[in-house]
Amino acid sequence: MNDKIKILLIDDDYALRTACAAFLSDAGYLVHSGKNPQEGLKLMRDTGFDIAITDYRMPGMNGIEFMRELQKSSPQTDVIMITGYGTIEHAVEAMRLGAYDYLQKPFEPGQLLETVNKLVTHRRQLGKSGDSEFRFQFEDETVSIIAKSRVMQDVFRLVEKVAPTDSTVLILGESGTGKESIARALHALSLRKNQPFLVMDCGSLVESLFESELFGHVKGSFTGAVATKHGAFELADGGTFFFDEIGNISLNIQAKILRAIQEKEIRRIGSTETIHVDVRVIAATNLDLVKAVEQGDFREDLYYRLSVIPVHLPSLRERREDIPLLLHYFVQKNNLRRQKKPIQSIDDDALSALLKYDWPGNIRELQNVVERAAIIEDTSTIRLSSLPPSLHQTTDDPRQPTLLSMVELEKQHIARTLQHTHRNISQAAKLLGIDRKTLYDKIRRYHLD
Amino acid sequence: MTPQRQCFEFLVQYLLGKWKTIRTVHLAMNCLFILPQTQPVHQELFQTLQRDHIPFEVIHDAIGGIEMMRNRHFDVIVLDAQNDKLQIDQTIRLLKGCNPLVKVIVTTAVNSKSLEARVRKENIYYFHLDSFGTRDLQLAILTACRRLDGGCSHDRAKDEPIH
Repeated sequence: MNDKIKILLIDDDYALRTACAAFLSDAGYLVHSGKNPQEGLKLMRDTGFDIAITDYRMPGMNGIEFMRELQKSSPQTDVIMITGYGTIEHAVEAMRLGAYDYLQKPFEPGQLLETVNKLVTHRRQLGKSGDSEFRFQFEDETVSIIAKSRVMQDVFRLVEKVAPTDSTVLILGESGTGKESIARALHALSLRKNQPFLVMDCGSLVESLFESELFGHVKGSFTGAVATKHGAFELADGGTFFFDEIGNISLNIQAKILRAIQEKEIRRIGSTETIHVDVRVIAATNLDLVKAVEQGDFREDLYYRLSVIPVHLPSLRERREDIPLLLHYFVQKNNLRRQKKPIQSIDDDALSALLKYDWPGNIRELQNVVERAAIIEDTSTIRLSSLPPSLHQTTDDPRQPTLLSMVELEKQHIARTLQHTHRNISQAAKLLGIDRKTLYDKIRRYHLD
Repeated sequence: MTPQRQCFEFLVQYLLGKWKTIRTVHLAMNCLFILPQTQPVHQELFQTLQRDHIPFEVIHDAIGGIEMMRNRHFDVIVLDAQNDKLQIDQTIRLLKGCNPLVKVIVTTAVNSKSLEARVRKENIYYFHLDSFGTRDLQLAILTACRRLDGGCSHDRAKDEPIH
């Protein structure tokens, strides 16, 4: 039953370390141990653990400093602190900062096992398991994508399979579902991982500037390298180029991108020189590109070029089983910055509202809701009152109409959020977990202006 | 000074302080220029922004700019790549650390492939060469401030054949 729980044990006392490791291994846990925090952090980066058991007093870095580092790179990992006689205040401080529990030396093996088992049960209640994290190393950072749902596990498997190839990937999903994270994972797990990864947001610039950003520009009376704009495509040579919101580009630019992908060649604006580029293209959109093709807004040939491997990212409402897990992840992340008592739990009403809500802004919106609750809430429990009003209305209320279309629901939710923020677009977009451009588009579409 | 007078003076100072805070909130700038020195070409740009009612602020050193960014809200940063104290990529990272959604426009008088690569890695909004003139920079700022519709979708050209 415990075969998937991975425990990291850090203590500079050799005898204690080996005895505890042997005892926990016998109990069915997978244990790795290290003699100092630096070794522990390295092991954490390489392997990833569910639980870390660490001594407080260690050379170079104390237990709390180690826990802080751990929380930065792996907020999913729960910490149990070991303290010596007379340092109980440090253990209390560690718990205040988010450690799950502490053990005071000397302790019996049974006590250790009991604490670990209690934590494992607690993690299971929160929906955390050893398989809930998809981890990869992106440049110097360890990136985690949190999900245990079957649909996301399928996505992770597909990403692992596709990443080492040079195939073009089209990531489809609503705003806030983590399209860019998946693109980063595809790059990080590919053979191009040590080459550049460049992102271009296709919806934000006017066409003339976008083209110059993409393909470079030679302009004006000055010539030579110092007055040449190379452009993102050329600079991504050897690496991966990620087109975010590809559905927003004009047919003119679509033609040029298609040519660049097919011919592997680009030409800077104002130049006759052709430059060879070897770039893997990943694109993402929240639009229905098939429909855009039918309406003549998107080139069919480019669509087929891009969608060699389509990856569908489900919305959060399609994987509600991941909500408790994500909640825990964001709560832990916020606890690091929180000046007040760390958030330890979420009450039943709040959890019920969070699980019932439809999350039009997906994970980004959930993250913002947790951040807001962590700021508003003075106690260590997230209550219904610390959630935005839009979430209160998802609890069972007989006066609420229950059968609304998604479009109507989204419209109402945006209207409520705008009202709540006194039409402050930036604030509303942040609360909804979508970008301002998307919000402007939706305001126009639903005639909320 | 009598205690009553002292009390009155204190109240006046307090209310003036409050008023200053309220004014600061209402007049919150949304565009910050971090330029080593203001050149005549920038003056022209600033006049255009004033005419378009785009609030902006100018600061001449990157560290001061980061400090401002920590205390105030800016939507767009125009940042010169030439900076004595900090590397440009490090500056962008620090600015984005204060507000991950801020749009960063980088300008430079002298470009190189390595400079542009370093800057682009930080996922900037627009990269501008001074020798290209102010029109493009102005257009980028206006688009970033959402005074112009960004997105080529609003500007769709006719279908072009592939050669």
